[in-house]
Amino acid sequence: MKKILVIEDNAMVIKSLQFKLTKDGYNVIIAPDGREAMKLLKEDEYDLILTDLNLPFVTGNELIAYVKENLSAVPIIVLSTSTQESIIMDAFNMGVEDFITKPFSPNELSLRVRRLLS
Amino acid sequence: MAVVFSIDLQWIFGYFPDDLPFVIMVNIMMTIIFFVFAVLFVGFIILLRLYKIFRNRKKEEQRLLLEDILNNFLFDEEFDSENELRKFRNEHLNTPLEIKITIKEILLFHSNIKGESATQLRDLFLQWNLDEFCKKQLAARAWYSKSRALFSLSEMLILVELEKIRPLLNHRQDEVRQQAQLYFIKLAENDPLEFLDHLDKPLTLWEEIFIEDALKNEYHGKIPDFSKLLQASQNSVVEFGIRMIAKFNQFENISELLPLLDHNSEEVRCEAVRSLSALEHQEVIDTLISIFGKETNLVKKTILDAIKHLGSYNDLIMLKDKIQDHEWDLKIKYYGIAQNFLPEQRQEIYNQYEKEKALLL
Repeated sequence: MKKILVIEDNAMVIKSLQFKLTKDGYNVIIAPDGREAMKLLKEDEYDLILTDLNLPFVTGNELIAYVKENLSAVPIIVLSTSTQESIIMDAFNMGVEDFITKPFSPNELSLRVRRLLS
Repeated sequence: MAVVFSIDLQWIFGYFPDDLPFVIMVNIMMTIIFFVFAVLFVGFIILLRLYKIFRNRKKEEQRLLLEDILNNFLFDEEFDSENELRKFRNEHLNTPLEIKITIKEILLFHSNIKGESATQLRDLFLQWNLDEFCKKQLAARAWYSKSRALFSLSEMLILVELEKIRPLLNHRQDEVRQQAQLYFIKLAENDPLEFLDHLDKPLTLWEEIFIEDALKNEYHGKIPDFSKLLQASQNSVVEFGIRMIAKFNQFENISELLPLLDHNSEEVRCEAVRSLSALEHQEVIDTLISIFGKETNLVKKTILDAIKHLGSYNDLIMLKDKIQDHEWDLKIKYYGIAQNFLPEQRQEIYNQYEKEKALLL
């Protein structure tokens, strides 16, 4: 079973993502903030990272930089409320594989995850 | 009255031993009274606390139930929607508290989700008759209930008879007015600013920002022709219209802005100058120079800013003689702009400024 690390601080979004991705057949691990995510990333391996950008303690950008430097094979999808072009461009320049803006379509997200993990 | 008082005291003091001094009796009596009050007060606080704990627990239970049922409803294809939703409605949508939490939770889901799932949430909102509850809340006495109801209805794009919403546009509470405006903008098909005709109070700056934001992010129809607002009876609406013409780059409305340079309101004239400048309408420079002398200080400053943005140094010096000796704030502004036009003559311009200042002093 493919393992996905979801880094998100919105309880409702966490619950929905966990529900949807588990239904899709993935093992979903949740980190409510950047610090917890860093800890989990050091302890275990993941097939995909789904992260918000505005996170407590360690920002999404810091996290992306860490992953791209140390775990470059793990694809990252950013799930953010930001629609600002510069923020989206920055994320892609840092090497993220996909960027989804909130509000998001769960079905679309599911498809994008499947595409990256296939 | 004195008799009654005396009888009452006799009745109370009858319980004390006869040889007890009067002062002691009064002291004991007061102690008992205060003790009873203290017990009642503490009891009341404990009851309030218990009520709050119970209410919070109920809220949390309802929220967890909803999270579960909504996730199943949206993402589980094997979920028996018809029966489960009906069961939930019968068992958990009976009190106003349960309904309010349900509305809040659905709105929370709706704000994070789009596409087919968002449509499903709207259908569920209607299926559970939550729209009817919101419509009733519009007539509630508490302003926050009205405001919340308006927000819920506009988020879920539910049509309500406009007669029920229009009076709320002039509600004394800012939040209600803003939510009523948002409702009109979000549900409008072709004229999202029609509600501005029904305003009794001037638009506040905050409301203008709110409307602009709603137009950009919440309204999905054709952007309205803001020149219609220039005929409004409220100057605040006219100013808003002028600003929006520039913000939305409606160059076709430049000819509508020009007559406003003669408007009787100083703020409207300033706004017209600012918008013409923002729209890069260089042809207005001659007009601005010609009206400069008869304008108020505020408009003169705005004209100077417009010349800085649109004109040249030659345009600027045409204004020099029109600035009165006592208008020091304008002179400072003038020389500041002159320095921008001629950076190489910065020192020279500064010397001229100092010379004039010395002459006056």
